[in-house]
Amino acid sequence: MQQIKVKVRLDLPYDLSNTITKALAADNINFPDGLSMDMMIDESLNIVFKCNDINKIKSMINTIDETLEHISMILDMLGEKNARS
Amino acid sequence: MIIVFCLGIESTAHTFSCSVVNEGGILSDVRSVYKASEGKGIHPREAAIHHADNSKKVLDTALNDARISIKDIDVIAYSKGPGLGPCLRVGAVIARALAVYYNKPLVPVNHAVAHLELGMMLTRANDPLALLISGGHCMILALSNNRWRVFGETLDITLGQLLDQFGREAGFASPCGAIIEELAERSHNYYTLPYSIKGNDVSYSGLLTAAKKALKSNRLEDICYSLQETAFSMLTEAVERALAFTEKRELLVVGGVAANKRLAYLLEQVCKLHDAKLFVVPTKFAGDCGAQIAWTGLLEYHAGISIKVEDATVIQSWRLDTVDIIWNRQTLLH
Repeated sequence: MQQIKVKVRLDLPYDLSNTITKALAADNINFPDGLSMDMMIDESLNIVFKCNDINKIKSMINTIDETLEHISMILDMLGEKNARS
Repeated sequence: MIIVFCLGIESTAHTFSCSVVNEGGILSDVRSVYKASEGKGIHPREAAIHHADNSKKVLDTALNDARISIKDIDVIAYSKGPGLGPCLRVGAVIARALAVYYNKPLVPVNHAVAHLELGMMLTRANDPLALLISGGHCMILALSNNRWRVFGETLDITLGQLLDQFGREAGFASPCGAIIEELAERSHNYYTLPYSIKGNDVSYSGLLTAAKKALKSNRLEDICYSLQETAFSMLTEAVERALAFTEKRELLVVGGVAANKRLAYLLEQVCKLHDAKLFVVPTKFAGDCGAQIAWTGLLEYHAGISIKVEDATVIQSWRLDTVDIIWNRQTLLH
């Protein structure tokens, strides 16, 4: 089975990574079968998107697009977009 | 009583709005409205992008207007539903981020209940039969045993959808209620359209189809007039039955269509027949706004309601008659 994996790494301070992770987690439910999104914090915020079904690649693209948009919005909202990222 | 400042975030459909309230009333209410192109309806993803792009400006203006810093906000309320998924998620993400970053309690609000609570606060209606009419709702309600009970509703599309979908067919941009009302005032030529009430519920889809068809061979003003008269008469009949059944002495009208003067006139006549007083939410707060979320969030917070950030989900289909109304608005109003 083909798997498409997209990794996003954001070098952010822990407080921002923690805020983003918690702000996004509640929506990280009811994903279609074959599509997943995992978030981990080490020295960076790491987000991994996986798609096991080539027919759902558009859903994956839309999920990545919305997630990055939400992250950008959070950083903007907290006044951190230009300051620390 | 300790003064509590509540920030409300509304993002269920075309409006992104933030508002600050406290027990004294509304301190600010700032909105940015997504506009679909003429003849088109709301595109959920495009509306969500609009909300995301305008969120910081709206929040900053709401805080500035209220002369308060985000750090001095005591509680954050957000629209949990019902609404469009992508739009709801924008508001929820902002609310959750602010709650985590600034360590504030988070309160989920049902958007429809919030229309009713803000209407009661602004009009001082105490125990009304309520008519909630907007793009998302068309319901006749009364509060009983801690829940809003439905005494009539649409079986298909809402009154707001009827007006918007007809207006878009005529080439207008949503929301179309105001332009249809203006055109209707220029005519008294009634064109017969389907009048459909089943039990105490209304059905507007057949009316919409017939009105669209009639548009092709009749004056626009005549069809706007006929559409309003038919749709509003159906609703007024259902309201009159509910008034007679519940014996309420107040009728509260809330939601975006509440701004329509012709509908208010018809409802006023029904109220006179049943010795009831008509309360219409002020036009400024008839449509979706952050104030409805902030005020209801404040009521909920005083009742001890708050949720963990990880539980702060959104629900696209969240009927208001499933919400337990456990707060006491009278303690804040007097």
